[in-house]
Amino acid sequence: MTSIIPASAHGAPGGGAAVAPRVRGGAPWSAFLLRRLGGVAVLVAVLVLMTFLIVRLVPGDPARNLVGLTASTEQLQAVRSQLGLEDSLGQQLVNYVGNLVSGGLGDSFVTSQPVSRLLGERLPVTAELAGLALAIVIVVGFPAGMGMAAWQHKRRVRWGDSAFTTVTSLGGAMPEYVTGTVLIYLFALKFDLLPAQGGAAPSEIILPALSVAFAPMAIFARLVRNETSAVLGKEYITTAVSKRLPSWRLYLTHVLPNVVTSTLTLGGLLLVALLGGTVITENVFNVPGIGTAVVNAILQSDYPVIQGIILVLGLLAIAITFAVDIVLGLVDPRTVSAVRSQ
Amino acid sequence: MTTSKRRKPFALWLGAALLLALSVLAVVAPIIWGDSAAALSSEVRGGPSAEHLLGTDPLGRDVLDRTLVAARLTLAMAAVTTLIAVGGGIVLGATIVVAGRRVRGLGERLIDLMIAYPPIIVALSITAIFRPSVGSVVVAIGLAFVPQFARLTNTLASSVSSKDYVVVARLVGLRPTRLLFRHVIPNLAGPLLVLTSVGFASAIITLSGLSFIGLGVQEPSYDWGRLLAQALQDLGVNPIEAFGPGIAILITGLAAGLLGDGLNQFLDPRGPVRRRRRRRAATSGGADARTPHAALLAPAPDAVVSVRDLTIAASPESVGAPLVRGVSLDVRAGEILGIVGESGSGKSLTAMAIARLLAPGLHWSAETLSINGADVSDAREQTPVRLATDVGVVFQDPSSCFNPARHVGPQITEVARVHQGLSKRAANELAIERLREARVSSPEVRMRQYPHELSGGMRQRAMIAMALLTSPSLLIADEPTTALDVTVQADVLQLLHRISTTRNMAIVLISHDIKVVSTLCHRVCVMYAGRIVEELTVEDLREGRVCHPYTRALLDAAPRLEPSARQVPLIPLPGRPPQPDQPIVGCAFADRCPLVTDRCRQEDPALRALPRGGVAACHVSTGPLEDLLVTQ
Amino acid sequence: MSPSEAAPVLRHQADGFALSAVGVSAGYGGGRRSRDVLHDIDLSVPAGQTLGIVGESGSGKSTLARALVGQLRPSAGKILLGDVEISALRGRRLRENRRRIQLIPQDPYASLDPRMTIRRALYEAIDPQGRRPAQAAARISELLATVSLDPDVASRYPHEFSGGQRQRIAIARALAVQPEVIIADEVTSALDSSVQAEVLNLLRSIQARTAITMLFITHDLSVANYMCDEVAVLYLGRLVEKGSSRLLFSPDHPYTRRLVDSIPNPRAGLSGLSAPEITGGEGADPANPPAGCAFHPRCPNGPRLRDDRERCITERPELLPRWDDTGDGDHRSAACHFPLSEVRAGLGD
Repeated sequence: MTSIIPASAHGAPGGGAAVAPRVRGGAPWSAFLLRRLGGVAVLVAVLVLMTFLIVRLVPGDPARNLVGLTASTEQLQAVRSQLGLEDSLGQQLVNYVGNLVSGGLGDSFVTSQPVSRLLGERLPVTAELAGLALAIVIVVGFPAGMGMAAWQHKRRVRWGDSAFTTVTSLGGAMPEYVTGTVLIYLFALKFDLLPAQGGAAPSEIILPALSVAFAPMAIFARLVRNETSAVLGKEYITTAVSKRLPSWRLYLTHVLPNVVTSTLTLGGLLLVALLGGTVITENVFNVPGIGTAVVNAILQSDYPVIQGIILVLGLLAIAITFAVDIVLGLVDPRTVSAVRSQ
Repeated sequence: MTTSKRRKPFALWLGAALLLALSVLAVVAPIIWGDSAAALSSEVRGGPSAEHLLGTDPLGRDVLDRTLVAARLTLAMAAVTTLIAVGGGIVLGATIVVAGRRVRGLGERLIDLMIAYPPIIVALSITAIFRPSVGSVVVAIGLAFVPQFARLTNTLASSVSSKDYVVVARLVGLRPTRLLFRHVIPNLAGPLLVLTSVGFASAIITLSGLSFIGLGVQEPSYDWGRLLAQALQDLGVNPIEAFGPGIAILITGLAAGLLGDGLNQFLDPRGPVRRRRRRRAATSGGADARTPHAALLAPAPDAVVSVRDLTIAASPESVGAPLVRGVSLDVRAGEILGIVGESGSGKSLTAMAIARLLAPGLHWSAETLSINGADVSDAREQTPVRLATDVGVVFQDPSSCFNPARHVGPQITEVARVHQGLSKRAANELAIERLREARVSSPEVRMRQYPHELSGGMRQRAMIAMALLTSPSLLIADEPTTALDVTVQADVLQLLHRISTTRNMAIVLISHDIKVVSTLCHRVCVMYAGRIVEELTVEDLREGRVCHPYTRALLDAAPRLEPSARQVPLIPLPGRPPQPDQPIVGCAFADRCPLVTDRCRQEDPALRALPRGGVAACHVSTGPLEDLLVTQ
Repeated sequence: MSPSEAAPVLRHQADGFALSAVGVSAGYGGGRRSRDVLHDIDLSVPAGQTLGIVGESGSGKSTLARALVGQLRPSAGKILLGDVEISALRGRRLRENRRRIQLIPQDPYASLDPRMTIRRALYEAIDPQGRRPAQAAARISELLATVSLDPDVASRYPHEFSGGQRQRIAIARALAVQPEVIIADEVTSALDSSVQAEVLNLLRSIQARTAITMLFITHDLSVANYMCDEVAVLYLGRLVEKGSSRLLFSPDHPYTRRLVDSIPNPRAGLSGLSAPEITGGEGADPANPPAGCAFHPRCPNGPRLRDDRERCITERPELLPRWDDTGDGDHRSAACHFPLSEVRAGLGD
C-alpha cells in the first residue's frame, strides 16, 4: 500500500453518510412538535368520544332514570329531546361535537345553569389546588431526593439510606383522604390553626394542597433519589469529576439535566395522577372545585355536568402530558432527534 | 460466586404475614363479630372505653367490631379489582406480544393512548354510567388500571422473549407453547407477582377513596372507606372513630406494598446488596513488609508521574486480598507506558488511582503519588486544579463519556474556563485547535453538536481533544480503543503515538490486548491479580523475550495474523484468576502455572531485576521463556 | 426461479454445500418502513469446513447470522440447507429443519436461561418434545465431557459458571441437537484472551472430530485466520471479498487491505498500522450506504484521491470470481473495479 493521503483530504466530506450537523430550532424540532401535537389531537378526539358515550352507554333509558318512574310521557319526551336522544347516534355525535366547538357544554339538569358557568366558577379553585400541590411535590421532593443521593454518594451511611427508604415508603402509602383526615384533626380541630373547610383563600388551600401532595411527594423524592444515584454512577460523571469542577457546577450542569430527563420520563404519570388526588381531596375538605361537583353530579345523574367535568379533567391530563413531553425535548436533545429515526 | 439460597428480605416476610393475617380476618370477622357490629347501643359517639376500644359511631355501634367486619367486603372488593386490573392487563399485554407485527404495533399504541388518561377519569366515567355501587366501583377501578398493567406486562414479556436463551430454545425446535411455558412464563412469574401486589395496594387505596367520597359502597353496606367518611363527619366530636378504619387502610396498603418491595428484592438476581461499611482510611492496606518493587526503582526526579507502593482495597476489613497490591511505576516525558492484564487484574484501578478518580468507597494508599514532582495524594488546595490541568483522561467507551444532555463544545472547554479563567471565545478557539489536532473533521460544527450526533470514532477523538485541552503533561488512556472497530482503533493508536511524540507527553495506556500494547508502547507492565508481575521493554515483548510464565501465556494465547498461524495451536491458560473475595497465599498465579513449585504455593515471589533489564516476580524463571510452555 | 438464481441453487446441490445463501437481502421493520441492512448476499459453505464472516460493526454480520438460522426472514433470496430451501419453510416443517442449524450467541451471560439447570437446558436441546428420557443422561455426560466440563456440574445453574465455562455449555447445547451446521456469532469477543484461546481450540477440535460445518462470525481477523478455511468480508451489508482464508495475506479489495493493516502487529510496531487516517465513511448508515461502491468515500485508491476513478461512484462493482497465482486454483472473488493484486480475472466457471 503506497498511496499517501494528503492532510487536506481529511476535512473533505465523507460519502454523504457522515452525520450531518443539526442545530436546535431546525427541522427536527418542527417534526417533534408536529408528532406530539398529532398525538394530542388523537387523545382529545378519544376523550370527546368517551364523554359522549357516557350518556349513551347508561343501561336502560337515561331519560327515564332521570325523571323517575312516575313522570308523565310528556316530561319524558321533553327530557329525551333535551338529551338529544331522538336523533341517530351519528347525528347525536355530530351535534355534541358541534356544541363543544361553539363552547356549549349544555345545562345542568339539577340547577339548569350552563355547565360552562359552573366550570368557570369551580375550575380555578381546582387548578389552584392542583398547581399548589404540584409545586409542593417538586419543591420538596426534588431537592430531598437529590440531596439524599448526593449525600449517600459522598459517604455511604447505611442507616441513612434505609431510613430514607422507610420514610418514603410509609409516606407514599398514605392515601390523600387519610392524610386529609389527620391534617383536619391536627390543624383545624386540635390546634385550630387553619380552617377545616377548603376554598380558594390562602388559608383554606394549605391543608388540601398538603393532603394532595403528601404521598406523591414521598414517591417523587424516592424516584429522584434513585435516578440521581443512577446518574452519579454514569461514566460521563467520572469524566466531569476528572475536570475537578466545583461541586455546585458538577451537580448543576452535569447531574441535574440528566436527572430531570429520567425523572420526567418516569414521573410524568405521577403528575397526571395528582389530578385524581385532587378530586378525592376536594371531597375531604369540601372544596368548591370540580372534584366535589363531579361527585354530586354522579350521585344526582346530572349528565351534562359529568360530561363537562370529565372532559375538563381529561384535557388537563393531556395538557400535563404534552408539557412534560415538551420539557423533555428541551432538556434532552435525544428525545427530539429520536422522532426522525422512528 | 453466588450462593443459590438467598436471604429472604424482611419486607417480604412482614408483608406476607400481614396479608395472611388480614385474609384470615376477612373470613372469620363477620362470623365472630357480625352481630356485635350491628348491635345498637345508647352510648352514641362514645370515646374509647374498655367495652368499646375504639369508641362508638353516631348510632352507638362499636367501631372496632365494624372495622373488623368491614375487612371482608373491603378485601374482597380489592381482590376482585386486582384480578380485573392485573388479569386484564396481563392478557392484553401478553396478547399484544404474541400477536403479529402489525397488531402488536397497533396494540402498543392503543395502550400508550389509554395510559395518558388518569385512572380517575375512567373510574368516574364508569361509575357515572352504572350508578355508584359495589359492583360498578370494582369494575371501574379494575378497568381503569388495565392499561398500566398491560403496558408493564408488554414491556416485560417483550424483553424476555427477545432474550438470547429464548431465541436459542426456538432454534432447538421447541414448539411455541412449550417455549411459552418453559422459558417465557417462568421468567415472567416473579415480576408479575410483584406487579400483582403493587396492584392490590393501589386497588385498596383507590377503592376506599371512592367509597370515602360516596361513589363506592352504599348504605347500609360499609367498607373501610365508608367508615372513614362517617368518622370524618364526627371528627370534631369523636376523633377516635377515624382511627380504626384509617389504620386498617394504611396497614393493608402498606402490607401489599411491602410484599411487592420484598418480592422485588428477593427476585433480583444480584441478591440483596450489602453495602460496604466505610471506615477511616487505613494505611496498611494489606501490602506486606516486602515491597521490593518500590525499592528496585531508583528515585526518578524527571518522571512525569511517579507511583510507589500503591495499594487499593475494597474495604480495610475485607477478607480477600487487596484489589491492587504494591504497584510502583514511573513514566517519563515522551514515554508511553502500557499496563496489560486480564479483567480483574487491577490495571484500570491503578490508572484511576493515578488520576485520583477511584470510586468513593474504595480505599487506597501510596507511599508516593506525584505528578511533575508535586505530591497529589492529599487534598491540598492546588491538587484539584493540578489534576484537572496536568492530567488528561480518556475512557473506554466514548458513547457514555460525554454528557448526553449538553453540546460537545462546552464540555470540551469546561476545564479551561473553570480552572484557567479563559474567556468563552478563547476557550472555543483553543478547543477547535485541539479538535483539529485530534483529526476531527469540521471541528466548528462538532462543537455545536450533541454527543449522540457524532460517530463512535469521532467521539473518541473529541474525548482525546478534551483531554489535551490544557496541554497536560500526562495522558491516561483506559482501554481507549476497546469499544472501537479495528480500523478506527488503528487511527486512534496512531493519534496517540503522534501526540506523545509531538507534545513530548507521558502516556499511560491500559489495555487487555497485548497486541495493542506491544504495538504502541515503549515499556510494558504486566499485571496479574492486583500486582505487577513483569515489567519489560517493548522490544523484549515483541521478540518474545519474556520472563514471567503469565506474560508468556498471554503471548501464546493470542492468535496472530500470519499465514502459519493456523498450524500452530494456541495455548490456552487453564483455570481462572483468584476471585476478589479469596485471600491469596503464595504466588497468585501458582494454580495456573506450568512451572509451579512448592515454594510458589507458600511464598509470594518478590519482583527482582533481570539480567536483560526489566523486572519479574517469579521464583522459577529468570531468563527468557521461549518454548517452555509449548512443551508442557 | 429466475435464471440468475437457478445456477447457484444447482451448484449448491451438485457440489454438496452444507449451507448456501443465494441473493439474500434482509432487514428490520415491517411494511413500508422496512429497510434492508443486508444486500444480495451470495455465499456457500462446503460441508465440513469453516467459513469466516468478517466485518466491522454495522456490516450486517449479526443480521446475516439471524437470517441464516431463520430468526429473520429474508426480504429477498433463498437460504439452502442441505437438500431443503429453509427460507421457504413454515410451521412444523420449519421447526423440524431448524434443528439442523444451530446458533451459539455472542453473550454467554444471556444465552442460558437463568432458571434452568445445565441438565435441563441440555435435555431440552436433546429432546425438545420430551419423549425419551432413557439415553439422555448418558448423552448429557458425554456432551459435557466433550466440552471439558465435569458431568457433575449438570445440576448447577448458569450463574455458578464463569464466562468461558458458560460459552462451553452453550457449545455443548448446540452440539446436543446434532446439527449439520453451527453458526458461532462472535463467541469469544466477550472473553478474556486466555479464555478465548480455550474456546477457539475447543471449536477446532470438535470440528476436526465431527466434520461439522461451521460459520464463524468475528470482527477479529487474527481469529478468523486461526479458525477458518474460507473467509467472506462484509462491508455495509454487502460482500466485498470472499475466498480461501489465505486471501487475508494478499487481498484484492482495498477494504480487506485496510482491515488487515489495522490489526496491531507487534512485530511491525506502529509502522505496520496502515498510515493514512481517513474518517470520511465512518459512521455511514448501513440502511443508506453510499452509491456505487459503498467503500469509495474511504478508499485510498478511489475517486477521492484519483480523478480517473469516477466509476466507483457511479457503478456498483459486482462480486466477480478471480484466481490467485499461488497455484492452488483457489476460487476467490472481489467486488472492486480496480482490484489490488495483479491476478487473472476469471469469466466464471
